[in-house]
Order: sequence, then C-alpha cells, then structure tokens
Amino acid sequence: MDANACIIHALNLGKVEGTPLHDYYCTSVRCFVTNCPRESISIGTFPKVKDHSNKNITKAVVQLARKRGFGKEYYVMEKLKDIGTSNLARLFSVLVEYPETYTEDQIKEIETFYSSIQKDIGTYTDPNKSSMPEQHDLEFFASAHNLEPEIVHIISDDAHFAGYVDEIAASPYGLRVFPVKDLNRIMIDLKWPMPT
Amino acid sequence: MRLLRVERPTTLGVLFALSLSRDNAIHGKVRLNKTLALLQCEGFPIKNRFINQKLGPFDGTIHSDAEILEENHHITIEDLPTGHEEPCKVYKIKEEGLRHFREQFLPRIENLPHQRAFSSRISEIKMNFSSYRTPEIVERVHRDLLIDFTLEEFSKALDQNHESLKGLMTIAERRWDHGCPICLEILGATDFAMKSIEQVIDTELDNQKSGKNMIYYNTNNMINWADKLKDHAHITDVRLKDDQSSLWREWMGHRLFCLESIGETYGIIKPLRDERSLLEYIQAVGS
Repeated sequence: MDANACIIHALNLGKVEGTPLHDYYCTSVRCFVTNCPRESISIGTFPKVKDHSNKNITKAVVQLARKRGFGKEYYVMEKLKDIGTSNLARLFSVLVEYPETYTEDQIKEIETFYSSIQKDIGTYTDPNKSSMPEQHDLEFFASAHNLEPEIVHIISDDAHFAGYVDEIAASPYGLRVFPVKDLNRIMIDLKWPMPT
Repeated sequence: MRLLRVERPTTLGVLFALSLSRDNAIHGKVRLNKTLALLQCEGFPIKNRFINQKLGPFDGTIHSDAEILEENHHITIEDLPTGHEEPCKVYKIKEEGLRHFREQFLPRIENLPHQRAFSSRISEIKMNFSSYRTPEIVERVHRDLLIDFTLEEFSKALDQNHESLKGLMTIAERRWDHGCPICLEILGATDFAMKSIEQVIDTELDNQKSGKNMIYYNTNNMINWADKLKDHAHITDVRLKDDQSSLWREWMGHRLFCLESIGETYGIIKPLRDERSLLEYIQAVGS
C-alpha cells in the first residue's frame, strides 16, 4: 500500500447525521485490506510509507473536516486528528512491513522508465502535479519490484502509480497497480466479499 | 470471611492523597479536602464536586469516603484533641491500604495521558503540602482558584483569560499550517478553553461549585503554554515528540485534559473523550 492509500484507510472518522465522515474510498480500501488475509494474500507496506503517512495525516484530516463544514470547530478537528492518527497506527499494526531495498542504479533506471512513459496525469489528482515521480515514489517502486513474488500489486491513490496503470503493467518490473478508486470493481472481479 | 464495603470511585482520591503525604497521614478534614481539590484541579480523575464553603473547596462526602476505607482496613481515622469542641481528624493509610492502592489504582494513574506533566504537578503538590501548614495551604488554594473574589472580580478575571485565549487563537489561525499537528493542538486547546469559559459565564457564575474556579485556574495555565507555543516551528509528523516544543505541547495537552475532566465532572462542558462522544458532538454540531 502506498501512503495515500494508508491515509484513506485511516480517514474513517465517524458519521454526521448518518452521512459518513470518511474519505469516499475509505470503505473500499478497508474492505480490501480485510479481505487479503482471508484470501491468504500478504498485504503490507514499507517503513518510509509509514513515515510519509504520519507526516500527512493531520493535513488529510483537516482537509476532510473542512470539506464537511467544520470550519472553526478546532477542538473537534483536533479530536478527529487523534482518531485518524490512532486509525493509522492500528492499520500499521496489521500490515506486514516489507524490507525497503533498492540501489541507486535501479532508481536511475526507473527514472528513465518514467521519462519514456511520461504523460499528462494532471487530470488524475492535482492539475499542478508533475508527471515525473518524486524520489520517495521511485524508492517505493524499486522496493516493490525487489520483493520476492513475481507479481506485486500496488494499492495506490498516487497519480504516479495510479495514473500509469497500463504502462507499469506492460513494463518488465512485475508490478501491477490497483488504483484505490477501482478497488470495488476489482473486488467484484475477484468475487471477494464487498463492503456492506 | 471479612465483608468489605463497596468503595466509591472517589475513595481512590483519598488513598492517593494519603499516599502522597508525609508519613502517609493527613491531619484534618480541611487539609484532606484541599489536597483532593488541588489534585482534581491538576487532572487527577476524581469525581468529587467541591463547593466553595467551609474554607472551600469542600466536599462533605470525602469524610464518608474515608470512613469506608477505614471499615475496609485500608486507613485509620483518629481523633486528635485540639482544645476546641471538635477534634482534629487524623487520616493515615495502612500497609494494606497502600498495597490495595498500588495493585488496584496505581496502574490506572500511570495510564493517564501527559504523564510527565501530571507527575511533575503531583510532585509539586507533594513537596509543598508536606512543608506547608494548613492555613498556608488554604491561602494558596484560595489565591490560585480566586475563591475569595467577588462575582464581579471573578467574572472579570474570566473575561481576561477569554481575551488572551482569543488573541492566541487568532495568531494560531494566521499561522496555521494545515499539516502541522502543533497548530491544530493550539487551536483545539484554545477553542475548548474559550468554550469552557463561555459556559461558566453563561451558567455557573452564581453557584457555589468550585468547578468554575478550576476552569479559571486551568485556562490561566493554558494561556502560558499556548503563548510559549505561538511561534513554534511547524512540523508534520504526528509522532514527533522530541522536538523543542514537545514539553510545552505536553503541558498544554495536560491543561486541556484537566479542563475536560473538570468540565465533565461539574457538568459544565462535555468533552470529546472517545469516539462515541465525539460522534454525538459532531451530530449536534451538524444539526
């Protein structure tokens, strides 16, 4: 799982008048994470993803709360941050921690790969986002590639992975991207239990 | 087989106060009441509702709590002649009481949040109270909690705290980096402190309960820590606890915890202590 997917999983902050106060895709990610061990599939992440998630959880909670109208309810937001943070800690206690291994040569090679497939990914998330991945994305990519299984699936809500699903699948890296927004469809295809 | 009387949650406070005292003993109802009131003020989770009477803060149930503990052989209560009509009660914890306290209650106390701040305040109470005479303790509690202020003076002091908190909140709003947990902590703490004061002014001013004084005391302390944090360097990692501001954050968090406990105990303001109460609150705000 990448950091964005982990944060979406953690953004399960309750309900307001019956309407869930959580990220739109939170239920799908949670269901997917629950299903994996049932299907004997190892699901985990890398230490740097944990760091990255912990660095972004406050901002994500504030954004969600403000979007839902909690403009000046700072005390509530502070408590929501605590819930988000503890949700994140709970998720990390469940996920397997995979080793983060890569070489500088691999990073350079992956960078070249991205240069060759570069396209406009602005429509996926932030229109100002560069279509080239950041250093931590490259390290994630290389570490995922270096994991033991022949095919490794990345659950992602990062444009640098989810915006290049077909290109990554066609590459020789043995990686497949499951964009968070497609998880429901993927679970239907796999005939996995769906969110109720 | 010995039958034990069912202890109330408040008896925990009496045991704790005695365990802190020199020779594990407290001389006099007044001293016991003041010790417990200050412990409550500093976030010790006892549910006594003190009132500003009889050299207040005072709670008439404290002596009966002590009697339950005496019947259960955890403490002794002796009468010390004073030359006046009423003897001085001497409360002393027994070895069995200390064991009961260590086994049943200490782990719960050690699980309270903001341990560094809490322990430091408790140590200060312990140190001061062992050297102060009872009149000095009464004087100090009355001074810190503004017990002897007129309604008008007290109201003015609350207004001043509210103004200071509002100023700190405005600064925090201007500097707010949405990814920085310290910013949100300052905003959250000042927001709750201001709401607590508003509740006191709206509904509590003319009653005898000491909760309003404890709200004053904790908001006054919170201003100090929020002020120290107002120019903090922004951070992003929620786990970061060893930065320069971490101690101040702990103290501010401790004051918020105290306000939440007192607000809840005295029915002044409902804190959001768990997910359930948070959801109820959110629903109320949403509607």
